[in-house]
Amino acid sequence: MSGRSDSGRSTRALWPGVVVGLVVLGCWEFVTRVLRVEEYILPAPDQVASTLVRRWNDTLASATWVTAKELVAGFALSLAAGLGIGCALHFSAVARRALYPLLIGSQTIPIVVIAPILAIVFGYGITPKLILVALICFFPVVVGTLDGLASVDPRLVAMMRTLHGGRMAIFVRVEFPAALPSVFTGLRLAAAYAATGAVFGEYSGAADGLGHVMRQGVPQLQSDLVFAAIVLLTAMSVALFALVCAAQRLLVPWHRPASTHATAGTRPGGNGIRAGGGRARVMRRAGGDRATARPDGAGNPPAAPVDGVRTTVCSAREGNVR
Amino acid sequence: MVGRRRRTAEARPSSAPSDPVPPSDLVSLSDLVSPSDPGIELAGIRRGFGDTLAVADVDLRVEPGSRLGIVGPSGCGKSTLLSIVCGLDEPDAGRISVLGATTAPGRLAHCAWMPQQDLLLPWRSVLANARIPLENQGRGREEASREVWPLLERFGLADFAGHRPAALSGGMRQRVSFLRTLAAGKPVLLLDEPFGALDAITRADLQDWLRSTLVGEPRTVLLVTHDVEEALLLCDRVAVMSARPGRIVSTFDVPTFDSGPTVGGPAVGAGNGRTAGSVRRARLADPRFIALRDAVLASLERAREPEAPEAPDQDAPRFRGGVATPESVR
Repeated sequence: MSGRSDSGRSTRALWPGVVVGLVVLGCWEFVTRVLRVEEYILPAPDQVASTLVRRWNDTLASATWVTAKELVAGFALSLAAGLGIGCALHFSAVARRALYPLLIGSQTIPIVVIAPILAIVFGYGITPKLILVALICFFPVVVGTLDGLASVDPRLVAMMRTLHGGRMAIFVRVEFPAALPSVFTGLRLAAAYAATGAVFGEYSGAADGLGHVMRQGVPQLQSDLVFAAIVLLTAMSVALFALVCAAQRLLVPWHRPASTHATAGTRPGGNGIRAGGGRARVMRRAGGDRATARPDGAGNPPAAPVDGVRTTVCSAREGNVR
Repeated sequence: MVGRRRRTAEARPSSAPSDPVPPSDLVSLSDLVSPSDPGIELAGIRRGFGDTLAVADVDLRVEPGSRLGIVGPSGCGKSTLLSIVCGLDEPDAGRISVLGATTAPGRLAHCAWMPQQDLLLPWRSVLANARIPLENQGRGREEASREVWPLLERFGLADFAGHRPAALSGGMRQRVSFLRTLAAGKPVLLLDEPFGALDAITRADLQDWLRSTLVGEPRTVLLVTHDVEEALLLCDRVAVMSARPGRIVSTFDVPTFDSGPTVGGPAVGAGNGRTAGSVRRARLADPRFIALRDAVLASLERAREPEAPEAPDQDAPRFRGGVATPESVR
């Protein structure tokens, strides 16, 4: 029904990117030809392309396949780990306090250093690559999940509590769906980082894969092959990113970044409920919309500091308040 | 799918007589109101936030099956009071009993709460939003949809069952929200400025609609509003709350104004020939209604002065038709 207009719109949306890409390629080609740059320093795009075709069957195809597997499996692993940890931290304040510093610490581990160690421990197989990809990717997912769960409109939670909603029902029917847009933000970041993890893993020790190809190509001055591998890696990253975006459109159709519907909690109108650790806080909203809109509000000057104290709801007692 | 609870039925007196259960075929309303029900009682309720006292010494009593409106200036603690009744919040001091339940979970089991914002879940269709309370009670989707369908039809929402809330008008969203509140099958309805976010015309429509809907619902209703007319149109008693710290200054009984054959009001319903709009106009034009409204407005006027010496009964303009009953002053 709307598929055609959608695809038309997305085609039109693609144009600027295509144009910029062509311009960059043109400049690159022009520079390498005019300045006669040596091939082993910077190969021209057409050389990269011909190498890509020439070496596809004997080297690049299998390397791409290996790296693709690592990327997808590692990404799936980080998705599972990130969602699991995010939800666990949301449910338990103790776990949050205990594990959050550790999680942040895990992001400061230099991948370059840990990759060879993982290769020593786990060998040349897929395992160390999965670990590296997951280590890089799970953090944005955790943060996205945790943030999404924490910023659920507390009024929605209060509403669920009055509608027979238990803790689990609230989580499944309100909190998790409401957190999905934020989860997907984390996933998009993770998708962009995943390739780095896979290549580092392969760089430190692998029998095959695009990182392995690059590692072999650089000392042999096969820059065209290295660039061909980079092109394939980039294409895979973009594909993964596009996959995540497509999944988001499919799973979160109600959410449009510019729309106000999914972000009721941030609407300017009447958002008076904030819950904190079981103890309600007072929202002070000087000149709240309600005070100014009402003729009978004359007794309360709009700027009175306490005007606008609205419903106070102790919701989500064990909820995630940060 | 885990941890479903059914805590509604427990605290209620199980000696539910099977009295007539009209329109809401959804839940067994038989035990919603029984003559022995204690209704809602608040005594000396006090709630503060930090050094601000939101509600001070509120005494109230709502008879089972009756409808009480609370009017007051903006930010006077009406909503705080409602969430305390609801069990979403606890008072700092005072006693509260909702149909005999005094603990927060117990009150929560009796009360359904409808706030000013519709709070519909944007990812769910109208039907899926409406059946949430039933799903929460452990009903499957199919079963819940089937049970909630008659309500959708009754509220004129059946044609929109598949729409997302974003596709509906504000008035319709509010109707879905009210439907969802009813579907919870709780004996007490707490309406917190249910139509405050709507434009005047839609609000008038929905007030009429809600009036005729409530007629067939034997539920205890607590309506919070800053619209005096709304309170008088929808409730049979109106309490005036003072500016912060909120306390009940006076209460007014609202008589049945209908002079036609529908004097009985609740039992007969608004369905015999006269449109809701004409009933509304007739009501609004009734001199007794106007006098009562003026009395409430005057009381509100006095109540709004923050630290005025509060002596609400000394010169409260007595109302001829209705009974002005200053109650629980302090």
